[in-house]
Amino acid sequence: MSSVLRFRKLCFLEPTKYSAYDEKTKDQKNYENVNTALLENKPKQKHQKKPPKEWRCIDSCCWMVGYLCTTWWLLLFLYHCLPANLPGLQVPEPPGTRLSRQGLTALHPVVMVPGIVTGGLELWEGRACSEGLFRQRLWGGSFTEIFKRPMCWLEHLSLDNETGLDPPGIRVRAVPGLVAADYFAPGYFVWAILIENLARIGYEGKNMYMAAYDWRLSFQNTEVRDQALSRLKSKIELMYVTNGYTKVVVVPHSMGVIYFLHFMKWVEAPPPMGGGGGPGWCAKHIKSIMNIGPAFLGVPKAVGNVLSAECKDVAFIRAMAPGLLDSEIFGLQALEHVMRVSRTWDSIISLLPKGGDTIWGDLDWSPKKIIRGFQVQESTKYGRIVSFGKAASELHSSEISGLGSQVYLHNATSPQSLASCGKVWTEYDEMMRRAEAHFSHGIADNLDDPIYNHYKYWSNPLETKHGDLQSIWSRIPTERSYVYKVSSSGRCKNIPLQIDSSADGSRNGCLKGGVYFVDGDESVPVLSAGFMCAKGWRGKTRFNPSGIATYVREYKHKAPANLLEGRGLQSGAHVDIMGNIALIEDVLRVAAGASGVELGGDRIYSDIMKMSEKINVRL
Amino acid sequence: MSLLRRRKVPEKETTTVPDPEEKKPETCKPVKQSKWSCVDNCCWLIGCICVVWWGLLFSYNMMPSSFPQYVTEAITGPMPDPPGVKLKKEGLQAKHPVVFVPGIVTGGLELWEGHNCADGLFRKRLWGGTFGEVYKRTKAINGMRSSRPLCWVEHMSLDNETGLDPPGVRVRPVTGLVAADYFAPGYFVWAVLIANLARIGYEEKNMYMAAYDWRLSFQNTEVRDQTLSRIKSNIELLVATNGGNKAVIIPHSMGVLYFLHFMKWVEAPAPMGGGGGPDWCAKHIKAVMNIGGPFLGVPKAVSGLFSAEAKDIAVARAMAPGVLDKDLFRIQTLQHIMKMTRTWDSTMSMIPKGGDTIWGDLDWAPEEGYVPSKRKKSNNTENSVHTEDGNVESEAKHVHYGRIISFGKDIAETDSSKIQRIDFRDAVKGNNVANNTCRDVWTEYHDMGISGITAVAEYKAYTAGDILDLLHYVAPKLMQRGSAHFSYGLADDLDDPKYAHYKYWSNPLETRLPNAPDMEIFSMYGIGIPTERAYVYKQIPAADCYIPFQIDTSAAAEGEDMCLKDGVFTVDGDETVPVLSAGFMSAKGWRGKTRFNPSGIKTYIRECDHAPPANLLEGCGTQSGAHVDIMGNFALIEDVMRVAAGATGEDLGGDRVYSDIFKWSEKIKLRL
Repeated sequence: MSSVLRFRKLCFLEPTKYSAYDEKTKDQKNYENVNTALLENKPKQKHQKKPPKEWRCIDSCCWMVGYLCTTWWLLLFLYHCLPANLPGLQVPEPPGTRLSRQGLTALHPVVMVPGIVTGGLELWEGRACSEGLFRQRLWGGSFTEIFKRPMCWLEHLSLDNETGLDPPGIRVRAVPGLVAADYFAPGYFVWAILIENLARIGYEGKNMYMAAYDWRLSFQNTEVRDQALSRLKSKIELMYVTNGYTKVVVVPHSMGVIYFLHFMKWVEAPPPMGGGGGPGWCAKHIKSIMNIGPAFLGVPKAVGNVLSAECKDVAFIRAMAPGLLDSEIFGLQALEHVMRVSRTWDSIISLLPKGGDTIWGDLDWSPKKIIRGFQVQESTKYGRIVSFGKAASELHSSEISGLGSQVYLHNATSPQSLASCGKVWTEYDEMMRRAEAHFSHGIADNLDDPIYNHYKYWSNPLETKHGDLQSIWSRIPTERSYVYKVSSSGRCKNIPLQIDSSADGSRNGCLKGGVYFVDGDESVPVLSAGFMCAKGWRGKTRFNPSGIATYVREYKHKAPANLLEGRGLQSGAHVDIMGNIALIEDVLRVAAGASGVELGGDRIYSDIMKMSEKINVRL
Repeated sequence: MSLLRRRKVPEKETTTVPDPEEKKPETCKPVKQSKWSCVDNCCWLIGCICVVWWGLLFSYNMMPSSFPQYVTEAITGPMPDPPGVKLKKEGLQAKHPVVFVPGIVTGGLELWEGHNCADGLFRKRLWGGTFGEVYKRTKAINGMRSSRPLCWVEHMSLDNETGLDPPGVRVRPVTGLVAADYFAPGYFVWAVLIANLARIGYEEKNMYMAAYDWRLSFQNTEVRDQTLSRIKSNIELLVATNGGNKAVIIPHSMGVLYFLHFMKWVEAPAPMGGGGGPDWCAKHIKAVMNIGGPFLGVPKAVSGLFSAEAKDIAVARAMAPGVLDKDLFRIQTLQHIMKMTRTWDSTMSMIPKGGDTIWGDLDWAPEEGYVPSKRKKSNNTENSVHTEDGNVESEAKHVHYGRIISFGKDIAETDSSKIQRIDFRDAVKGNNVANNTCRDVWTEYHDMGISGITAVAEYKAYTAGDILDLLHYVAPKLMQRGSAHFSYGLADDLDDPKYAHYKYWSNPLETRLPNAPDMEIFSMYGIGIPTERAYVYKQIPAADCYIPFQIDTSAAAEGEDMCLKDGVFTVDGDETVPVLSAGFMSAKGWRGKTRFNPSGIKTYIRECDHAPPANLLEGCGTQSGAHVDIMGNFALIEDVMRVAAGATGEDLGGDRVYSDIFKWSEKIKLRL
């Protein structure tokens, strides 16, 4: 930059000098010709001075722009002339190439189930304001429409508040095919790396399938509206047949894990509620399920989201479209609008923590506490998923007036007297009522109870009888509980509950910006991801009556060493893990026919086993 | 600001020192006259252009999206409602699931595995899209510079022996609706139809694009990609998830043949077939609406295979004019194209079928007496029965359409008795004239030698039946592969067990339609555009690497009415498919209960008269009848939508015919 400035300075200085010189030569001539005209010459001289002065602001701007453009093009050109692989920038060999050299070839067809948020959504029918967007992506891609017509965009993305389905006159559908979730936004890969590596050992369109579904809907509604579950069933059967009767390897990610749990129950249940595949369907068609960053038992983040939209994970929108949350765009009330929209998405409710106090701990106890042995004196109360004020979160339970987290959830509705607030009503009752119809978050005492045949229990691993073959996940700090403060709810535009970002832990780094962190992958805590495989389904339990083998594979998070590496070849973050070399290798090996034991069984870095021990669930 | 201030300082110095004596030393300073150096000027110019460009771009983006439409309407008056809007007002709703079967060339292909030179193109489109990769810069690989176009040709070619992938290359069809909605940006194929269907409630779950690799022979798509199984499973799924409503199939161009093949395949027993049972089609298909279907092949395919020279051996030439520039491939473009297209088995599915019975022999052809201007007069009349046919025919000069290839214009026009033909079939192929310089551009002509080439020319005139022998002679390897997958004959006895083989499935003259009396078959095609029907060739000295035969573009007939132009005889059609090929099966071959249609499936002909777009703003024309543009024809879209919403052929109004197809079909003596 400094060189640019210097050059500019030079250019600005020189022409003026020359022009001055020019004047002088002319002057000289004048002088020689008419010696006496010196006095007359002076005004003339002034007159002639003007042209050089016309190097005006606009000109210099143009010059500047042109200069930058030219330099840019030059650099771009140079960059393209660069040989593809400079010795210095040697990229490490992708696992696909290495394994293909070892002789691995495509064997089992692969089904990918994307998680929440990462799947693209496109418009099929919309209001007048969305003209020209037919079959364009509303979600995913470049998000340009947010800036062009924000209100329109929000309106099209929200669902009907009563039914949880499309509002009248709007049809927004999931993008089908591999393009649905290979890149979330340009350069932000989700499945692309995995797909590319699979392709290297011989996979292609005919033996890979992206089970894209509309992640805003509750799981059963994807079947009601789009027949997404039937579609998935038919696709799996087709791949099973066309690939020489080899079973399918399923790779769900994030919420896709719960979705696939739901699918497995659905497919074996009799119609009309289920898919009518018969009790042996999964055994016949599925070889293994490799859950990546699974949220089996829910994510505390979801509580934050439901409660106040201000949870750290509004970040997914905030990060993608930084301008979005600026109040001006929506004419104030940005957060409220976002909240109103995301409240209509039933699927978020599926991520609420499941299992209640037994799993997540009650006011005084949490399975996490022991692993933070050095913090015992601090006694962070992870069990209190939502607490009001920092003081309350650290007090002993006897000192606060005995409100459990569940109670908070329902109490939260009471200060919601926002009747005066016009259209930005964000009522909780409505949402929880819809939620009750589609999801359940308890623990079953008796799994043979006929009520558990209802589809709302299918996505809760603690209330269904089936198991899992393998589990893969990772660890880095994750939100576990939140400290809330009740903000003065006098003004309409405020959501009455806000994360108290002033609360900051003093000595241990566990309480940061109002959020308690525990081990996990940035979105899903270890407990949620690993408990079912580590204990709930391990061996023959009542949740896993057929004794399906389960494995836990953890990947340590390592931040990318340098910028060139992109988002990290060894990352463990919730989405970035899809580019983790070790994980890809595991997936490739299983797809090529290896079993869990051949991979080396469990690989554990965290204390998941110990934590699971502490949880008293009858198995 | 500081810059400005600094600039002024030297000026002040000069103005304050007007003393003449002091100027002399200053003259020794560098004598640079220009106030702005050239670089500055350039930068300034570029800056200006950029700024203006951005300004325009910005204002364009800020423009409300309805603005262009507003301008159009201001100029041409209000546009008619698109059929989707119109029919929605009538209360039509999505009912039957819709399956699209794209044709040759229009489907996208993407790369899954390639050689080094294709680095970074993983899952990028090699065919369709922008064709950007064809033009792409050269790239240094391992010190060698290999050019992208050659790389592209290499990846697009198939193996010459097997007709499947060459080792180390996997190019696969793009899946989903995106596969063929737009062929290139702004050049729609299915997009308009999809958009209109969406207006009455269609979406991803009840539309399906049966994309397949159009380079392969039909049966090979099943062998390599299991495409046929996939289509079967998808149709079953669509029918099941849409409440048991049968599917409406909309094939276009070569997709028509592909779907014929599919219907036979699905009912044939495994392993060769899909094992769907004899009533699969009856259970799952409501109607097949063929758009511009070359049922009996197209003469264009002959010239394409013979000399890579059809007026559009591929839209490629039109879409990417630069490709054919000789420099791109370092000369020999056509040879490269030819080498590439010859590895595509599917092109052979379009060789004219039925031989002389259908396409006419040396002296006779069903279309004879056709005068282009005549039909224009009768545009208004709904029916095509002309009273004055006899007169016109006698006046018109006799055109021998039956001679698909003739060498020299005089041969094309003289009476058959005067032509002396020397049979080429036994002619010995000469020594290989191809010298070493041509080695990399291998075309099979070089194996023929001079004597072989002369022998071909000596035969003078080729009819549809002779064409096959000619191609066998000229391109033995190609035809050997082709004859394993396609057949071009005319069956005498359909009960012959040999017709169970899959190579007959795509030939409507050698198969029976499925047993599905409720099904309906529509033939929808455009007319009113001169379409290639026969060619006048000339032989050029086979001295260098050029293809020894070329269309004699100097051959043209006098007078307006004549159909010979640039060495090509034209008839009525949609620019690619002659009316005869698109309409004959529906007009006669399958009409009523015939031996090709034992269950009496109803057939309808819906023609669309071509009207070129009134102005540029209208785009491809809402009334166009051209082979691909017809997909944007409002009348056609309306027909499709009505059928998809539940109407039958009778509801549409039965046949809609402008051309002489019925008269021509009468002339063809085919036992039914």
